[in-house]
Amino acid sequence: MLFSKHFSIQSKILLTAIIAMQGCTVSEDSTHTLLREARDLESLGNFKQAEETLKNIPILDDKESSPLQLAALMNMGTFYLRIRDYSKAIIICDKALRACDEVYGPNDELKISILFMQASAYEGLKDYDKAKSIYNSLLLLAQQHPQAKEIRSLLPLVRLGDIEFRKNNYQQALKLYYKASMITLLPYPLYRILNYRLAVCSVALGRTSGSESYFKNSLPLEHRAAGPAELFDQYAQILKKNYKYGSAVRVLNQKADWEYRRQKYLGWLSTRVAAPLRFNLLDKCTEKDFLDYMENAKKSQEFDKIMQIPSKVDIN
Amino acid sequence: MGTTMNLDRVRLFNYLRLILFASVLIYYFRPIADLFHNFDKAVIPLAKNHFHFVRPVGVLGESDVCDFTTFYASGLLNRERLTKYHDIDVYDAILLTQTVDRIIAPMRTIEVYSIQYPPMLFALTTPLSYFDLYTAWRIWFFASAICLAIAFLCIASSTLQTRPLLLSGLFIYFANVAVSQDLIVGQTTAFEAAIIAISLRLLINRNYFLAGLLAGTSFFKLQQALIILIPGFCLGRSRFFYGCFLSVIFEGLLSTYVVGCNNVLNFIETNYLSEITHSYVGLNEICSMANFRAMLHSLPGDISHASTLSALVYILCCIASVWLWVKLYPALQKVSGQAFELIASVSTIALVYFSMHGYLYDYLLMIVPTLWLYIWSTTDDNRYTTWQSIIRLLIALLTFALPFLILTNVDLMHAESTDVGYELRFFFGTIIFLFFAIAAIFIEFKQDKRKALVSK
Repeated sequence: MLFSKHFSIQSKILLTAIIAMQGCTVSEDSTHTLLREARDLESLGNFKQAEETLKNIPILDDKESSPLQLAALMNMGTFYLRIRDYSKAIIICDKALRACDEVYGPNDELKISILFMQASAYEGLKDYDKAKSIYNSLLLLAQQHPQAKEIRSLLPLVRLGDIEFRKNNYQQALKLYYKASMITLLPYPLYRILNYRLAVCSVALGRTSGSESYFKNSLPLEHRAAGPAELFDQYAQILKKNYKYGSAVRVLNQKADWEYRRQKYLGWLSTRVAAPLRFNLLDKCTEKDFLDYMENAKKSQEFDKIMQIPSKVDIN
Repeated sequence: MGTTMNLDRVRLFNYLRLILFASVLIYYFRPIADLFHNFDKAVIPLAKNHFHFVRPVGVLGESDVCDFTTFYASGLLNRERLTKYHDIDVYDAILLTQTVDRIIAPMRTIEVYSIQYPPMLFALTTPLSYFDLYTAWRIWFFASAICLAIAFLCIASSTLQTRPLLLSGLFIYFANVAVSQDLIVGQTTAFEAAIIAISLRLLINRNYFLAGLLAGTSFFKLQQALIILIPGFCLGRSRFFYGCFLSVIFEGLLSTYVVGCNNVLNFIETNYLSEITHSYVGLNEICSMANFRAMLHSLPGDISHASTLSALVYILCCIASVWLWVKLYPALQKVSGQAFELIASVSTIALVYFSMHGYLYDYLLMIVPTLWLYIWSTTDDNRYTTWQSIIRLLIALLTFALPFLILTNVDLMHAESTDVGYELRFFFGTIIFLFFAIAAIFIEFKQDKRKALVSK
């Protein structure tokens, strides 16, 4: 009896201490809360409100730069890039570059990321010269780096290729894509993306038979790999052009199979991954918002954009 | 109950086991050879050009990173705290993600990463941050491999003198998908495996204080700490508790020294925020786990109660494990010389699979039951009946086949367009293993007690 009373007092003290300790520490910093809110609002497609939320982050008004302020700026920059507001992205990147100099010094690796973001924004604005000069400087930095030169030069090479592709310099684009594709042990998504780019360049240059293997390598092999499904159509089209009708039919059958399995997989995945974890703000969005989001996720709109095709090429 | 086997039958079973052992070694030759080949031709080049640490998924720089990259980033962030920003929160997910971005530039992470480990982790990762990423990974890799070898040797140590061939099992262990994944992604389960295996060995030797002292460090991976804490507290009681308490005090002081007092509190905050409120996208996705919780979560239909149900089952497993150690172990100890090993096997299988937070690499902890069940099922036939020996032979076969039941990349349900097939494979594999481990205890109770006592 005495023991249980003693135990009860002890446990109450312990419980109070835990609650007090958690109470003190669990109140989240406003920068974190606002960054999370902005991300969730963006997921819901409410870009205006997301932008307002990001602008209201108090740390952005601080005179002295800090790592957290730099993080907020970079989040803002990527947000503007995602919503394609490139002018604002460039301004934010400038601010982030200055903050990065103050926080981590002028030679920090993070500057490379910010410069890459800025170059992507210039590319979005079709200011290709500025974009090219930044990508070239990044390539130079990659070559001078003591380690992992290849991975550092991969993205600038692809982006330079994209610029040449948009300017219809297919031969130059092909060269740059080919150089990027020669990097050892490329990750599978990048391997597919580069093969697709090589394929469309080859088609644009009239080398339809040469493009066949590139198209084949760009196909999603299983339901976990993203689409789009048009990749199968384009490959089938090329096969038909090369008089390989049987193979073309097989590819179209593959497409039907992949589409069926992908749809089933996304239906399964969207309820398990996307929605429950992305929705931290259920009290701030209506049930309709939530259902719309679920529906969109199921339709695979979000999942099948990874090819990021620079521009359409007429296969026919 | 039948009678025990005559010498001829015992000899026959010995031959059968020899054939089994030889065929298993031949069967494993290819995976072991592949392992070394892949390591040389794929893992090392990938690590050298950093594609191992960062996996770009798009041309805008969106990337995913491997677990070791986040550990390395945590060390780098703490180094930043020590040298420049003294009041920095090393558990700040936004800052950690920024540090990851600094490592992988010009790529950028898609998700927000957070460290959920106790501050002790920083004692390991901060010194690593003084090396470049590739060198740091190599150091981590070899430290993990040594820990795995220590774990194996500790579990098998009492038998190795009489059966040195058991050492060949080390190759099979390293060829296992769970082990290779742990080593390659740079996870921490190998360290936990060494702590658990050494502590179990100390418990067998009745060195309870030292066992407690070491088991206290198992809090490093909270979700697996109960595997050693339950037997420790049930058997070692106060001596184990004092060791454990001392260890926790030491860890607290070390943590305060390494990350500062404020960050020890930040650890609690981070865990509260990320685990309970699901603050950050992509963190602890249940569908990428490989346990009972993930299996329930993967099934079609209503999944809202999957976590609650699996939490209940885990609590039941813990209660059952306590019962095994407090009630069943003393009774089994009277009739069997391997009571500790058998009870530990059942308890470990249940606590690994039904844990609330378990991934593929956590299955390397199954070395505890696998090795002990193999040793038990291949020792001293003349105490058992023919039927018992057949079941023991099946268990010996199962310990080798287990990796093929649950850990292979062979897609048993290829037509599945979801992960249900993958999860079911783990479920059925573990349940079969658990069933045989329980059967082993039954057989020990039913064996020829007179001979058992002599043998003991």
